[in-house]
Amino acid sequence: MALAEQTMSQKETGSISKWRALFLMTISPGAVLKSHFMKVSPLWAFFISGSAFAIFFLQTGLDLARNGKSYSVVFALTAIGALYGTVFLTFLAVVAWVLSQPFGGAKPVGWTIRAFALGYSPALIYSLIGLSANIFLGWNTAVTFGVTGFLWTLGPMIAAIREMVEQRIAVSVIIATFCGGLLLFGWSLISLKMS
Amino acid sequence: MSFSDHIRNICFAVLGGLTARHLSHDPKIIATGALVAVALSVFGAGFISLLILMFNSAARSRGYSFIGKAVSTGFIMLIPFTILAAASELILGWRAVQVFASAGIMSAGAAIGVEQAKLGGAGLIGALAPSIGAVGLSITWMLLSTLAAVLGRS
Repeated sequence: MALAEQTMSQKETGSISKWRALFLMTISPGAVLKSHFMKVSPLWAFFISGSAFAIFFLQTGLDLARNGKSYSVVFALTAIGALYGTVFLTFLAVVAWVLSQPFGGAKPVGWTIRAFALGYSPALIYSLIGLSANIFLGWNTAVTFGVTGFLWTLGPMIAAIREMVEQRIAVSVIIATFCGGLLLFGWSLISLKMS
Repeated sequence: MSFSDHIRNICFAVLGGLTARHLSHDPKIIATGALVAVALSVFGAGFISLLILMFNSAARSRGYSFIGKAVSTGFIMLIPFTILAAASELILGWRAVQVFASAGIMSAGAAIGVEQAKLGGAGLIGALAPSIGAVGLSITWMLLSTLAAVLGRS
């Protein structure tokens, strides 16, 4: 990860393609955030975060269906996941942006929303792996892959917040913990209501 | 020992205590888990520092105090994972502390890599050294947790 960051900081970074952004966000989010990733379409960024949550909630639905719940729960949870990964994520990014303002507020709100959405690149990859295990191996993957996938997003989120607060580590940790907590409790609340 | 080192040790103590809580709610067991975790924290930080010292010539020329500072700063990234692990275990009732601990240690390793990059002078192995150290620390954590679970059952 550090090598990618060094490489990108040592040469002029141009615009970054959407597939490269997805891949690099998984291994070196800091490098992507320092590049001209604003040229990545917001639709693509929301596609990543919306898909990550949709697939993750789909796994929750499949686990519940395997334990006797109706398959309508599967569709409902998938739709809720897509909304969670787009609408709620936008709200979360705006909250983080507001919290960052007293501490430098180095980035505009559009940057923050894109950065948060792109930060779900590792979660999307992990969700796809979890979905494969769920469907082909019959595993209950919602908690195992879900929690790990969620945790993979904390790294890019912290990297984004550090850029927003001019590398103030303590502030970025506090804001990231607050935002991570909102995500965690929101997810558990939805799972509880649907189970 | 710097303030960041104390923060690191507290994080490990909390994660260790939460892990021990799976075996028993006896305060002595929880305290033992916390102490073992702190020992692992000190060992892990030392191991990662040693790897950087061995494979990063620029960091080596600046001395151990700079390396120690980079390692301490990177481990601050463990804080969100520790707080969320505690929330998931104590409030949500999940048994997921292991996943939070592993992810937190790996994120700390990545953050140490970023801090090390500021010191400069790392080749490929040197750049990967903090992440390699974090993988080793994470595996050691998982093995110790599994061992504790096996001993608890016997």
